[in-house]
Amino acid sequence: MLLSITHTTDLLYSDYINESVMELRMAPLQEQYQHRLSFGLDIGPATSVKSYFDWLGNTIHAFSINALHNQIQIIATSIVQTDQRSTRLEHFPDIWIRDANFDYSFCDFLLFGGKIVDSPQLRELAESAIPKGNPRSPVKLGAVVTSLLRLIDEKFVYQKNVTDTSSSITDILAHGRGVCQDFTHLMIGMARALNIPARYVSGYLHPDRQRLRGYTQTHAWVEIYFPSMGWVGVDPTNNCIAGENFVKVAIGRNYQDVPPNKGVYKGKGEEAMEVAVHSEELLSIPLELAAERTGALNLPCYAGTRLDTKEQQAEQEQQEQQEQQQQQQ
Amino acid sequence: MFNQYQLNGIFDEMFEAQDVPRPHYESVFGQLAELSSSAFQRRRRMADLSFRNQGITFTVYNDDNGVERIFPFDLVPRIVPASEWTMIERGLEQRITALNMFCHDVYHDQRILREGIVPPELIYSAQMFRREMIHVNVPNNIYIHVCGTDLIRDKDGNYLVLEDNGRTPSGVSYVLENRAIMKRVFPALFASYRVRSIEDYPYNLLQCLKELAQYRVDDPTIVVLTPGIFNSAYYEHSFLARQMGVELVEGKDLIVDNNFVYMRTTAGLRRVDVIYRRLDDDFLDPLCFRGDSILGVPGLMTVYRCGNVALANAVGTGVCDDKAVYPYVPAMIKFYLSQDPILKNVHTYNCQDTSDCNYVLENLNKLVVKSTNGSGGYGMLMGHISTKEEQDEFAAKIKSDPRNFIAQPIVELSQHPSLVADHFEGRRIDLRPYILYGKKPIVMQGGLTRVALEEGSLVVNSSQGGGSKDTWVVEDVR
Repeated sequence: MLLSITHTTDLLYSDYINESVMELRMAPLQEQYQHRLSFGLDIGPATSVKSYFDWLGNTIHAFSINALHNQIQIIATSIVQTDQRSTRLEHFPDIWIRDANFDYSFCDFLLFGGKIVDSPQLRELAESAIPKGNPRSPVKLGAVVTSLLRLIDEKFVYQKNVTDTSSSITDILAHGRGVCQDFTHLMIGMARALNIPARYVSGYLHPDRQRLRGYTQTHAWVEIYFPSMGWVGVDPTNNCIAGENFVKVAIGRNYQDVPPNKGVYKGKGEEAMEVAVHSEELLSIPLELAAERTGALNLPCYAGTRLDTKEQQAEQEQQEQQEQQQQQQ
Repeated sequence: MFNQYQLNGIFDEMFEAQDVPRPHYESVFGQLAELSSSAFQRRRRMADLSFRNQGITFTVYNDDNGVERIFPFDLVPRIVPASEWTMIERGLEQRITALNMFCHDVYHDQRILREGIVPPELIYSAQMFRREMIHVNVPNNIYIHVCGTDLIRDKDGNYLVLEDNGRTPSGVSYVLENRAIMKRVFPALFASYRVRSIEDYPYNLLQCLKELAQYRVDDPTIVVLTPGIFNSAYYEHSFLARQMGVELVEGKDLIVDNNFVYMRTTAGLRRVDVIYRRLDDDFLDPLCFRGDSILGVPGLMTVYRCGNVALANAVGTGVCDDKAVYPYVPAMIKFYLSQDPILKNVHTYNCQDTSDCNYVLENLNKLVVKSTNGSGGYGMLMGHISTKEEQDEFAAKIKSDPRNFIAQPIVELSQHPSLVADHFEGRRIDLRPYILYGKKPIVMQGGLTRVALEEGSLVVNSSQGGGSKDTWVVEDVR
């Protein structure tokens, strides 16, 4: 599938801010089933962009805007070629072994952390998904994964505005509702509870005829490690295998490793974010295609300094004092 | 003044036996014994006044009685003969070399993990393992440029390493100030020994920092980054900046622009090439680490990763400071250097290991329990003087988070005469030598001897009411 994706992020601030520093994870990954033909990044106010790979192999674009500004716009455009993947989990030869030893490089994808919190409730739920059968005959890993997907589909409801990006899986376990990020964290937690390496994927989902949920937005799903196949993507939000309409952007242990944009700034203005993703299928590769380019959007910024009120300064000084005393050695 | 001196059945630095000083202490013993109590008190007042006038202070947290204090100074010098020092020096060089190789390895090929010398789970569960540093190259592959290793002596006088402080060790300014004051207060005593000089430390530190930028610029701009005036070691930060002749800055004085770090000056922005940072990793860059930190420099890690600024110490050295990793340092020395460790470790029980953990829980009253990432003597249990409640509290903590605790047998630290009221008494001491690593390791010819000023106490940390004394490395007498 040949896809063109436009990901527009608008950040609006209630007051002028300065010294914004941001990190973006918006460039689709280059890998076995996915080829990034082109990636463009337009940022306003104009600035220079530095890119590098993080420890997981994700591409990061970093920039800073030091002058005063009250809005930032980021437009990431990609053209990606995706391939159909092996999707018949139940035919994979791998056997699930509860106390299997993995190479240590899987440590990060087996240990709990971030919003993926271990709990007896989680473990109980994960255990309930193990297919029952002859206790002596081996259980296939594919069957466990399929069963986990079905369990989430049956017991949890997709609903917006119940959770936010800071919610941990104890929240979704408590009220049974959430969005793709919660479903993904939950599935990863259950897999790890069963000693199955699992990782978080963020990316885009191109809508298809089956009307997959979450299609107008960026999406999150899970990759499970099958020794015979490598990492295989499954989507707990839609109870399906990640096929050619899934575009991978970043992988990580949990959401904290992969946010599309992450930033800090100076000033007391509140940030409001609006994200729009548009994708369309192309019939042929455009002839004029830059592999990677960055550009500038014409948004205003101003010289000068930010004035804080006395109360804001006092608050700042108090926080500084506390942090200064938290240093070690 | 030595009339009531007790040897207490432990290793005494000054005396071989009752009233028999070791050869290298004979001259000190002779001169101090002749001194009247009032003459000694006068010198003590001189020293105290000098500390106060120069504002040589440190800050104690969680204490309502005025936070700023002078670091109690004990006038009786500690003497280490050169022959003994040579062994310490070689041991420290060996250790810092191995620790640096370890840092480079865990952030690159991870040979030591793949070969199972150090358990990978231990590293991957370490709070201070900075994944952001994986595959990042640092100048000369050196991570720990400044190290302050804590040494103690057991009952038989053997030097043991208690911990390696490879993040942002403090205390070196007191070493230099103690020496300056000793020379003033006891000029004749000082002159009666051939004491090795330590005054070259700021120069060596500056050279070491310069070497970090040598591949990019000829005349690098170097700064000392301090958390700020409320930090316990602020005096030291300003002292070192002044001694080296470089700027002392806080995070808000620095700014990242176009992938370089700049310092705000009255004449505009000036590019910074090397930062001697005395700020923990967690606070260094809010974009990368703790998002709520306002002490750091947003975007610093991106510039660092590209090599456009150098940091000393490097980010991520906390992984070898983890007290649960410490027991593996002798194995690291064998693995990387194919040598036997010159300085031994204190035996350590790792609570993550089930059998060790059970032993610890059953013997809490005989052990020192420490949190793996704590420092400064905060958050530890001294088993032999703890109450049942404290032990139960620690047992619960250990059970809920075993990875976060280690335990060690209580080592009877060596003692050294200290002035108490009008006479000398034995007080427990340790030794923190400082090692610089630019192109090669340079061990300062002396160090900070810390004293537990309370009788019988084994805790020497300044934050826990410890004092310090001058440490003389002397050429052998015979």
